Amino acid sequence: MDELVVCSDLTKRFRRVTAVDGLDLTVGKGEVFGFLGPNGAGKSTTLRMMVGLVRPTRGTVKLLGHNVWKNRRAALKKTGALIEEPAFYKYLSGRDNLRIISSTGDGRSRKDIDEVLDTVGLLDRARDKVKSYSHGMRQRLGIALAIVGKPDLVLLDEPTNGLDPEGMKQVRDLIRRLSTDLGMTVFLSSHLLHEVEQICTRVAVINKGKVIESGKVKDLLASADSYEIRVDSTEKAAAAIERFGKASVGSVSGSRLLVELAGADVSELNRFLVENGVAVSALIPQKRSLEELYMKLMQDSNNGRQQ
Amino acid sequence: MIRLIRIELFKMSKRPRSYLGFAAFLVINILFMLGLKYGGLDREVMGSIGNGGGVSVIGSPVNAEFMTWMAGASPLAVPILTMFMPFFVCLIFGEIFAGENAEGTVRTVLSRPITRWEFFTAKFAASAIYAAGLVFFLGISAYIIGIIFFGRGGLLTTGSLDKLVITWYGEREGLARLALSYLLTFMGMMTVGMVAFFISAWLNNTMGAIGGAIMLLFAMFIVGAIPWFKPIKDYLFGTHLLVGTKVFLDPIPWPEISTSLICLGAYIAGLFIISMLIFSRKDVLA
Repeated sequence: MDELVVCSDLTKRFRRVTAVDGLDLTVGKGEVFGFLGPNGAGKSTTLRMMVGLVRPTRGTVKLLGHNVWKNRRAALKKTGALIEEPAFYKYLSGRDNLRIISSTGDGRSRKDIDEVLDTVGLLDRARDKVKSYSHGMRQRLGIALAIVGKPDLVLLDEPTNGLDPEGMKQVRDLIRRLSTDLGMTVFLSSHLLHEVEQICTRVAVINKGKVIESGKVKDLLASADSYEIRVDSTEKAAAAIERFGKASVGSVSGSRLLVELAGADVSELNRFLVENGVAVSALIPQKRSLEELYMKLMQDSNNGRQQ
Repeated sequence: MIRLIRIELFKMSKRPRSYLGFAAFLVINILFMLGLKYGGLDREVMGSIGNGGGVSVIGSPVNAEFMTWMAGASPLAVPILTMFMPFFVCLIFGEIFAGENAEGTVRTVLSRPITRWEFFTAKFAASAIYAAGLVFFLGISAYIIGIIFFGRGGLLTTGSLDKLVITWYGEREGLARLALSYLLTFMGMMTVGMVAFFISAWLNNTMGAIGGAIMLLFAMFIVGAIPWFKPIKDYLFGTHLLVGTKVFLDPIPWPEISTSLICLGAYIAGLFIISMLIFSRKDVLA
């Protein structure tokens, strides 16, 4: 099976509010998939529908090839999830929490539980009651619960929330290891763009319940409409670009211009420059950060445009 | 399912509030025992039986079985059966969903490969076991304390709450009637508990579930006491809550007990089904 997550036309309405609107999404085996969006975009509602906590108004979710609402046990058997802030029985120890909650599935041995506690750095606090844990420790315990038993698919909703910078790095490294060393597929919901850019292979950006962009991180960042153009005369080129009308010059440095395209193809601009007597020696796509791309997508989406 | 029930019982066992009812009943039994042993309560009790029934009592029938009858099946037990026990049962039944919802653990557990039906049924079964444990703890602790301080013997009772008949049963028969009485009391407590269970699954509010169930019980007592409501009295679960006291009549009024059991059973089944439907359809947003 190549696609471990398939959401088709997934929609959730809460009375008059549409939290998720016709969402289509697939996550392939072995991917670390980033699910980006601002607060209230519908990320958590989507994740809740994915594990069957919230019933979709329309559409379906399949995990590992099984419909979550029709064959819940099979869909979640090899799926681990951390949905929003991890909640545990505070009056029980970390180990007891993992033992009793994970035993609602197949049941896990003490060795399995201690292994994941060690992985998240909580083995020495395993006997302490969860009420004595810090927020970060609870977060790590939530991750431990999600990965106990080595599931094929791990759904993580803001897993670095409340962690200090060192803790965030540890979690990022852990997520990488889940994919590279353990072969797990990771679905990571986050609004921390730096985190997603560093970890994920593919992303989907959601706003107002709709996916407004998706694709491989590498492609999305490279396909930005910003180019560095090397020319013989920057003055002549700048004047030509102004006449072209569907691009603007951002900055000029030596023989280089940073140009932002607005609805035109780069080959179109190249042809125009050459026809206007500008010698173009290079057109270099500019790699933007995910943050820049995200901000542009949000701006476009909020202005009613979709790329 | 057995594993899930064991998990629920394990969770209950780790919460101090689960022991409140047991501790309270132990204290009540000890107070009964002290009153009977050192306060001359046995003479007063025997005197009142003798005066009311026109019988003379030779010696003292105060023993383990009498203690057990006093604690959970006699007129003295009415406050326990109508207030304390419903409260302690509702404390657990009302918290079972609402508490988990408030803490967010229902989200954690239901993100696992477990169906809502299994989760719900395990909670119901664990609650039922708790209610049975509480009811029978009252009786068994009274019996054990009774043996320690007064020894064993037959059972002297005053019949049921609404029909005073002084009756003496041999030790085995007395014990059997006491067991049956406590079993019927368990059915009554399950019914009250199920109201809290239903509110807990519906509103996700622990205090609302406990308060709502107790309020409903008292409302039924009040309505049942008003003659105008006589036609519906038999359909109110409050009317049947003390059905356990009827087994001390001779012969046992089986038709009356059956009617009570059908009514209580219908409430339990109905509330179970409605709660299950509500729980299985609701979105977990906590």
